[in-house]
Amino acid sequence: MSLILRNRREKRFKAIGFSAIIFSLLCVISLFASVIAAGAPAFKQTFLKFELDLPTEKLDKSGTKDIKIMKKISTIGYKKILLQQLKLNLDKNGIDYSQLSKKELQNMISKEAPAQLRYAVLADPTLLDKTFSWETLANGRIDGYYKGRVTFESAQIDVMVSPKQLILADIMKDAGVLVVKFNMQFFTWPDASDLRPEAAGLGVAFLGSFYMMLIVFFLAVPISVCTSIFLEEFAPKNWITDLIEINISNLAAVPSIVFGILGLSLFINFGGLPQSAPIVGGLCLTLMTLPTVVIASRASIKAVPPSLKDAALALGASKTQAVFHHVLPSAAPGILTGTIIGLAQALGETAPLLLIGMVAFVREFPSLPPGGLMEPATALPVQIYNWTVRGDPAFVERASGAIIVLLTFMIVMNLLAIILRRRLEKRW
Amino acid sequence: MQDQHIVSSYDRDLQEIATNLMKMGGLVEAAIINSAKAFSERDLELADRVRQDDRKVDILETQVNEDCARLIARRAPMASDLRLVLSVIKISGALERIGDYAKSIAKRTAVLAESKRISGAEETILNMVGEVEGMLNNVLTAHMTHDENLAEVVRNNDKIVDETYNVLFRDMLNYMIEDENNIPPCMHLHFISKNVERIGDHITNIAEQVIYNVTGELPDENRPKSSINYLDN
Amino acid sequence: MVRIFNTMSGKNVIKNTKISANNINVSYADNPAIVDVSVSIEDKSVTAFIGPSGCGKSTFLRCLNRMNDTITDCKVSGSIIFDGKELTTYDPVYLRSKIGMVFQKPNPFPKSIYDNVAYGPKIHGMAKNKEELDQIVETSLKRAALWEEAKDRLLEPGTGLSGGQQQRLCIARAVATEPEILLMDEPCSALDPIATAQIEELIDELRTSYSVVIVTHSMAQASRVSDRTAFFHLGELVEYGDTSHIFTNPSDKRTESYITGRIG
Repeated sequence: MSLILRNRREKRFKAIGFSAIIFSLLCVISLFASVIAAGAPAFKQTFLKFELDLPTEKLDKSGTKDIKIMKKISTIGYKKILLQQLKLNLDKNGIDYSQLSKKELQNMISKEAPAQLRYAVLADPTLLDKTFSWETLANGRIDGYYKGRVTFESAQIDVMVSPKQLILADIMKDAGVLVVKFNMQFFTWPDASDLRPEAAGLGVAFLGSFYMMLIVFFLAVPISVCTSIFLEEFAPKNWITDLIEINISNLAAVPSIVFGILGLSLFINFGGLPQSAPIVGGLCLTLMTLPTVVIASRASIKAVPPSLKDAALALGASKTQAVFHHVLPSAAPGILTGTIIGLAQALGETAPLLLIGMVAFVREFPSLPPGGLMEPATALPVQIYNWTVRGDPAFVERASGAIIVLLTFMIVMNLLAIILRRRLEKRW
Repeated sequence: MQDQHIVSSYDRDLQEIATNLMKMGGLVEAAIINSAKAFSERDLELADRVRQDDRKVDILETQVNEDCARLIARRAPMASDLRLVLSVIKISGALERIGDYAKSIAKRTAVLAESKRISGAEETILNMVGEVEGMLNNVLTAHMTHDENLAEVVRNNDKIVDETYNVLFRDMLNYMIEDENNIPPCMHLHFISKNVERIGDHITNIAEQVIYNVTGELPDENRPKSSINYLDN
Repeated sequence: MVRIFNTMSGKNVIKNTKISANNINVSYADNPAIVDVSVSIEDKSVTAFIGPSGCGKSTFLRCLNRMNDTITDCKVSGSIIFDGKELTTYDPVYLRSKIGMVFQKPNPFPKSIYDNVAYGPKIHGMAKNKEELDQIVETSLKRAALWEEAKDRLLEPGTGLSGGQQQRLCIARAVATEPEILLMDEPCSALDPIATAQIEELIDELRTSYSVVIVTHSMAQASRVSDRTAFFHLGELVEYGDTSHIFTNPSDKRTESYITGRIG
């Protein structure tokens, strides 16, 4: 072929490749842009700043700070006190709230707030004796107003908020009673019910995902590494091992929801393990991650030059010694990388968790393992799914925020895998 | 005979050395024949030519030695190749010495021309020359054809040359005792016969190298010698 | 078919046999690699195995320390006597500490120089404490003529040395287990001439303490280094005798052809 034609063909090929890269980059950028745009607001939240001077006589009837007696005061009692305190604060700042009805004023505070105040007081009864500043969430719709979801026009037809509340909110903001700031609680609080999107957080989801990752790590890694060592080094090469190899490769391609069905029938129905528990989720994810890590481990074990094993054997090392003293340490970078990639994959899996029931609404934090592994929890991707299907647009915003968190984790884990691999490979 | 070397330039190098060696052999054979002819016919011009032609033999010997040294350095010859190169070096040295002896005979011919002829002795000497000339021809053939038996025959032939030399020595003594005028020519004739006898010895050396080359072992130290002790009288 | 069993040539007879192989046959997946080979290796000497590629010399070498056992599909038959006992009666792990091996391409472990040499003694429990282990490492490195160059960098990785040094490290590693026989499979083929000369000098020193069997492609090396030479061709042992005899006047025509570089 003539030189000119060849060059032209090469240029064309390069151009196609280049435009493909540009196209993919554009897709990725637009994906990230839309996710960040939708989710960024989740990291800010509208709070009401109170100077609280709680009436001791109402909350501690006996005057002894006995928790058992104080517990008798229910959330409703605290609700009334909060409204009273809000009024006091507004008076102090010279804000006029006469336009609003009592209900409207009450609604500006999050419905979660009274419970939180009650927990705080029961945890530390000395709060009754002093005046302290306290932050509490504003209502979800107020929060939405500051994030652009709620406008004066939409407030007029909205049941949950009125334009008068919005006007008062602005005044409160100017006075510093209402602040919009970084939302730490997004990470630490558990999920909240439909009426209180502002109080919804990823706390339980984090813990659930973390427990599952622990299970996957401590189960999948040893099993896969030992499997791959056995298959690669010790197993005789016959049709049985060939069959096993084919099956492991196929398992990697099985849709993840099948593992959910497996988990449901095997672990929950047959094994009697509790539903929605991290242990079941962890076991399903372990099964899913096993093929990935086995394949990666086998590849890195195969990549160790046979001359290394020969050298060890020729010195009089037994097969086991040669494998564990020499082959495994040399294959460790690859195995580690495969593990991290497998873990990252498992972190983002949703389908199997849906089937085993981790999609439930869980408000209680599971306790420490091993007991905590049996208690119901949820996981990050499942929480995202959960929030997306709820009606309130505040939940959609929170779902996007959770997506950002999840994506960050994945990127960090993959980066860690790359860095580790680079670092450890240099030893050769 | 043997297979070719995988590296064909190796064979070409060996061929070049063999050609040069054969050239030397041819030149030395001619030198012996011509010096004998010059001696018997007292042809001083021929004698002079023999002396000049020895130069060519010397040049060839230097060439063969250089080629052999280069072969050893480049090819690291083993087994039969090694034995071949070692024997060639020794053979070319022997041929060069033989050429020198032929030159020496030619030189003495010039001096002899002034003396009286002693025909009996001269005839014997010519017989001896014929003998060694045949030996040289055979030994060169034996080298080319790798024939150790022929080389062995040549070795045994030297006995005749030695015996002839011993007999001639006794005769010369008698001539010199008879007539003191015979002393100068007899002395020269003696040296000439000595030269021929030495030529025979060198040819025997060549024969032994041929045997070493072919069989890998040098023949026994005790080479066939004449049993006559020429000091007995 | 009557085989000419005695392929010995040369004047000297073997004085002390260290290891002798009789009627060895090796095949890989039914393809014969070694056919009926018998050879005796003399103690405290250097024996060279020469022959064209694929003639079986490396395969035969691996029979001597039972490394062929680690290869699947490899069948070995025949008897090898080492120190009076049949080779198969030894535990392979113990055997390989008594018969050391150095490979063609230097293959130090990706560990420190110290750990490379100390690995063998450690797994065979040859040192009771750190001082003894240090001593073993120092002695082995000195025996391999590497001590002077390595003593200040014992904790640096073995892979950071030059090719010749790496091979000497592998030799030090092999002698650290106090073997009686040292098998070397083309140890210099990956090295430059100076490193090769250093290894040959080392082999010369080693011959006073060990029996060395060296497989080599270089006939010049075999003739320089060994006392006896065995010529293998197409899986058979064609000729076995004194090195000086083999290289000046071999008995078998096939040996002659191979040594002089002739076709066939």
